[in-house]
Amino acid sequence: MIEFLDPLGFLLGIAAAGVLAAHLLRRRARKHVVPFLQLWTATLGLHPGGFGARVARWLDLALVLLACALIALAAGGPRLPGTPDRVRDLVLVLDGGVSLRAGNRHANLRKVAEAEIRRRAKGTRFAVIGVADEGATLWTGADVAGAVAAVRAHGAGWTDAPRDEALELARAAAEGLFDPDVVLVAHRRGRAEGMRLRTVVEEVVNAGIASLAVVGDPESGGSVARLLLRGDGMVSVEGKGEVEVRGTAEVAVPLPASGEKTIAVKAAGDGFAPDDVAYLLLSEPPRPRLIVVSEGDPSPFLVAALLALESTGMIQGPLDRTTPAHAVEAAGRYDLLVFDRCAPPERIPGAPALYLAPPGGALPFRMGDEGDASALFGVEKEHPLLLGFDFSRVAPLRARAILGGDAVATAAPGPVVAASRGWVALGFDPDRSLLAASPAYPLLLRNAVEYLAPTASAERPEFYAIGEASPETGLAAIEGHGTIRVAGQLLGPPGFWRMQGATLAVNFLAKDLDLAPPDEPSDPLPDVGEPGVPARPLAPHFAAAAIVLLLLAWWAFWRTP
Amino acid sequence: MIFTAQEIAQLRHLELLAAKVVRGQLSGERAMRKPGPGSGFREHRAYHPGDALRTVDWHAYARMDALVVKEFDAEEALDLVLLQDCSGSMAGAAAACAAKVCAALGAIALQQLDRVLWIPVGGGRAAESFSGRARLADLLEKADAEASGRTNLLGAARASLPRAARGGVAFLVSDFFDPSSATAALTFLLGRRYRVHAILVEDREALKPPPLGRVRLVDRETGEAKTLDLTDQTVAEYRRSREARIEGLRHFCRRAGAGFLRVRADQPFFEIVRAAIARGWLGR
Repeated sequence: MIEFLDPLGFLLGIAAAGVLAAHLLRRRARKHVVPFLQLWTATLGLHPGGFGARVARWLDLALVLLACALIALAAGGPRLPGTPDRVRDLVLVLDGGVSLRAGNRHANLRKVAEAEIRRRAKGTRFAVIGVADEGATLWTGADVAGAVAAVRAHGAGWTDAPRDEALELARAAAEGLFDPDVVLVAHRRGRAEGMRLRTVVEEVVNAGIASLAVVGDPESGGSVARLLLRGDGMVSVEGKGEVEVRGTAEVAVPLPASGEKTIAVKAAGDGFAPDDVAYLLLSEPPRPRLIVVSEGDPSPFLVAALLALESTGMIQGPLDRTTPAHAVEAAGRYDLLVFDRCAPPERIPGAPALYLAPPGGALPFRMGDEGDASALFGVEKEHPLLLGFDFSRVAPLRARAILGGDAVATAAPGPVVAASRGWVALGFDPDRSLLAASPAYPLLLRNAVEYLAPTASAERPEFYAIGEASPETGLAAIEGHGTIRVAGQLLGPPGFWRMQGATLAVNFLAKDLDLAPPDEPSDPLPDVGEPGVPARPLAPHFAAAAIVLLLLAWWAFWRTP
Repeated sequence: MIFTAQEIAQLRHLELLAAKVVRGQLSGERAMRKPGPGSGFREHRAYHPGDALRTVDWHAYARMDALVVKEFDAEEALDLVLLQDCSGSMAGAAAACAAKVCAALGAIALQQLDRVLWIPVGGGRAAESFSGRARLADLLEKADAEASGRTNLLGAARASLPRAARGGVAFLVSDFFDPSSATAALTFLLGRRYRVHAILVEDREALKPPPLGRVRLVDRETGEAKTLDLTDQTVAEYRRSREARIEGLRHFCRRAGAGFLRVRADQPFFEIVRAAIARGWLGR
């Protein structure tokens, strides 16, 4: 219903009388002197004073009178009445779970909480309760700035506050306020919202103390899943089929040489909610570090082959060198020692070693006599050391027998290439054979490195904090209930070797996932003490309508053609 | 004074322009195409006994050793008839424009020793003849006449033009709002062997239709009145009628070999007269 602030403005309606008078005057023909009346002769037959002209005159009058009425109404100060302000107090329960740490969720939820505070009417009293490791009343009072400051200062922790404690806090706060609302600010799909705190505030509501609103994070809309395959039960992993997990298990998924890898993991039930966000964890396979031990400068062919391995990411650079005297102390810091035509002064404990034409010394094997090795026989082509490598083209000519370990290649003196746990030995000098200049030399070395220092599984911490982001993670998407589709790309320098050994892991244990139950209908925001709707003035609208009518009348009836 | 100082300067310029453009073709200072006393050299011819010795070209005799005489073009004055519409329909800018145009044309003619017959239309004024530069002031004074009376172009021409008029150039400067006939006067002048040029002066402000609605139209000359409801349709019909009338006049002039020029009343007289000169309307 429209109300008028200044009814005296209706006096402007008197102008209608003037309009009527003007209209009556206009009904009388206006005199207009023309130079030559004969020019108008042809027009005199166009129904002067006809029906159309009469209708036009009355329409003209109606328009102007209507405009007059609108102007009079506008002068009366019309407005739509607003609603009065109503004060309802607020209990704000803030979720402090660690899942809020992920990305900018915590900041988003703080914004939501602040907005909830600021939209309240003046005079609203606030109680801000933070629930994390323990519940705490952060603020009580009627000061908006103080409540906002309390929200901003609220940190994050585990949502493990004792349920009763949170309930008592909320109840106490609500009882001290007048007609309060309790608003829980948490992830819509978070554990806190779904399992714990929601129950708390619902109990407050059920006690008839307050009404409830749940305000989720509007931007993220979900929690973060750490992709670690933990739990008990069956998990369907794309490309791997059904996987039975008891406790913690790891599903190794082969990755392509490059680009992205997408894999769907389906957990039973509602382990994954559609609006969750998960991260794919791709571990970087460790690269072995090795050191070259030589009396003087190492063989340039050997160095070139090792540099080739380094450049392909097979070993970790830079390539270090040392002398036999320091080999023992270096052994603990390197994954592999390469003895280039030199003898170790003493036994090397622990560290694997590759011996190239060792002259003697504290070797883990014995050296036999030297003889003609141009004719090789007994080559173990299936041995991992010779994988993809044609040893028949090495032509070492002279070699010493390696006595001990498994013979890989044998010539007249005996085994000229031998391998065992922790060592590989070549009984000939590669530089005095065709091996040094062969393009396959790095391949033999790669096999030796793989044989002696196989790539270890990526070491991951036992447990990641939920939402903790690793530099080597990629975003994963949730598709439907219980299914998570992860797509990731191994970051860092590309290389076939590094990608080959990477794995991903998925955690579907609800306790650790911090994932929410399936979608539930959102609770509507309560009709809380919003500020009253201000009155809406209508005078500009009335005046504009009057102007439009007058312009219309001018165009149709008054203008000079 | 009908002209301002600036307009007088423009008038002087028009006189020079007219002399330059149509020298040897126009007015009393214009040569007729027959030999006779005059100042314009025509040609040489062989000396015949009896020729005046002062006509012998002694310089040619010195060069060619033969007697030749110089012949000159005869000069003859031109009759310029100016029908200036001073009727009531011209009141306002149209009358002022017509007065200036007629005054300018007359001034050019008088400067070149032509005879000018000024015939006012409307207001009961009498026609008057002018010749010689000394009468220029009188002509300017007469042309600055107030617009009144009814339009009767034919009546004014018939009453003022001598029966023995021998032809010449005639200008009708009018709005041609003649209730009897806009073209009768043109026909009459053409019958008298005049080269006739019609200058239609339009006062577009006066012709603009009034605002829409019921209006009582009153004729400025006759006082006759008609009432009508002005609508967009009425106005369109009025404009069409006006244009048809002008087009009819233009068509008549083209067919009769008369000149026709449609000008706005607020157009400078300088432009109008210059256009007339450019069309060669001041020639015989």
